[in-house]
Amino acid sequence: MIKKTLMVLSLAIAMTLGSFGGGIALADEEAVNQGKSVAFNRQKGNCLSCHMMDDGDQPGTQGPPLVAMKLRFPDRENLRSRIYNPLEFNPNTIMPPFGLHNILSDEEIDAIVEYLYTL
Amino acid sequence: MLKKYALLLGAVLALAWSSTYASPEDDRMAFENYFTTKFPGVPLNDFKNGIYSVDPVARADWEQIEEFPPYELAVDAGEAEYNKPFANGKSYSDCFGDGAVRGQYPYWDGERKEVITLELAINECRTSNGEKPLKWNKGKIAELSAYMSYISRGQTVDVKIPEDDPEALAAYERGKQFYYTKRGQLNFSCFDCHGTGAGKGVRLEKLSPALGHATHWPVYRSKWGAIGTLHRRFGGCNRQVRAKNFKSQGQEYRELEYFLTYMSNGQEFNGPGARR
Amino acid sequence: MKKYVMSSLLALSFAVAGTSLAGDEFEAAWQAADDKRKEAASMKSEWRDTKKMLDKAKQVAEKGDMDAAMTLVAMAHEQAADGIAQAEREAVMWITRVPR
Ligand code: HEC
Ligand code: HEC
Repeated sequence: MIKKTLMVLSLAIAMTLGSFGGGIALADEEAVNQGKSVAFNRQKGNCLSCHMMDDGDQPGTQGPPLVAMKLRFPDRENLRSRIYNPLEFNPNTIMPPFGLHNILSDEEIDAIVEYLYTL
Repeated sequence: MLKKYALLLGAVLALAWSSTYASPEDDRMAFENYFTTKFPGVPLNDFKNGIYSVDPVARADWEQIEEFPPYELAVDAGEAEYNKPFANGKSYSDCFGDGAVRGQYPYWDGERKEVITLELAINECRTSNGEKPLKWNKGKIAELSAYMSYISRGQTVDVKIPEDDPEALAAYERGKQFYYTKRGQLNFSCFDCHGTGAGKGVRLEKLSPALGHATHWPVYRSKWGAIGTLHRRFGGCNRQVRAKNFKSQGQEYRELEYFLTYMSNGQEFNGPGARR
Repeated sequence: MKKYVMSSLLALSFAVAGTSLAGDEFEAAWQAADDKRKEAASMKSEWRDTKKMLDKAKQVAEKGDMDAAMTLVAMAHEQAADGIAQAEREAVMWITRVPR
């Protein structure tokens, strides 16, 4: 609860700062770092077990390499949905529905999207 | 919008699939074909070796391990147990003769209307002779099964689904549906990993093809540090996708074993096995 | 003095009623979540951790942390509901994965 309030608060601050320029870069970097650590963590995203991405060691080969994300997924909502509920795009996919099944929190998925856009 | 489209697509696919009836034998041939097409370099009779049939690097380690098989102690212990008389003077041989009966299991019991596995038969042999049943997953029951599998090596997998008994077919169909159904928070079916994902890596570990999955039990697993049964493995694979596992030797897993072993008809029983 | 005792007694009884109200609410929510879990199980689609969450919720509630206990119950309830939805999807979809 407190954590959530803090998150919202820091988001609000970041947004205010952002509107003045400068501050947003900092908040982004934090989200990117968080996103990377959630994506790599085996108990969390464990994306590496199926996707080649970034500097990840020993990636699995079940899914396509996650590269050039901004180019391939210009629509942020679309990219987010592919993580939140990949069943929407392919009801037989083996990729877990990270949001639909609460494997990751909304905040964690947002952070991953932030991170993916750096790839 | 997309969601609706995907749902519709799913429904259409499902309809197309279910509109033609496939017999167990059709299923089995398609299953075999799926894997021989996916792994054209692997001889059909090598799938019984699990992951080592498709992972040459791991295979080299395994072949070394097999020179001093880690299941040997279990086989010896199982032999001693097999020959030890029960309190009533009878013994396992009164139920299983010389014990080389691996190839007869699992089978459909038309009177009891259920699938009988080797482990179930071992415990029923005990209880009908006034002995306490053994725990299902490891220990003595796995040792007995290891011994009986060892002396049965080379028997051919030949599971039968009696055509005159619709309930046998229904049990097979339930096992089949279980195998292809996604479960657990991570949303995987058995086939997602051991079919679609077979031969591909999850990090360092590759996934074994489902063909031949039921031939070599029980297995000495380095990770277990002991010998364990097929149903123990089922439970582990269910929990790994964060699904609740089912009871060992309960109806679900026995019917799953019935289906999965049927898919390996024609392969050779080569248990016990050694795996990572 | 008498008034003071009266009002504090009243306050006390309110407080007691308050906790048992929270307790009742918890019991009802817990039962509803456990029923959902059993429904998921009857469809062979119970998840690994749902029962653990419910057991944990009981422990936490006994220690008096009703907020945390209710959060756990809500999570368990959602898991059970997701398991049921999954089973409903799969009742149609499983057959599309069978090799032909
Ligand atoms: C069990 C394997 C698996 C895991 C774990 C997994 N994915 Fe996937 N992912 C896939 C597969 C397979 C596809 C291909 C699409 C399909 O199956 O419909 C895919 C597709 C995607 C796509 C679309 C990419 C494209 O080029 O089409 C994105 C984005 C993605 N995954 C992100 C992630 C992220 C982020 C994670 C970790 C939080 C993750 N995936 C975890 C298997 C996985
Ligand atoms: C998330 C992936 C995954 C899923 C889903 C999964 N398994 Fe496994 N399974 C594994 C891994 C990893 C191993 C160990 C390496 C190997 O042999 O493939 C394994 C091993 C096995 C083995 C032993 C293979 C051998 O040669 O000894 C059997 C049998 C098995 N699984 C059956 C099942 C069944 C039945 C299901 C469905 C209830 C299932 N698995 C679901 C990942 C999975």
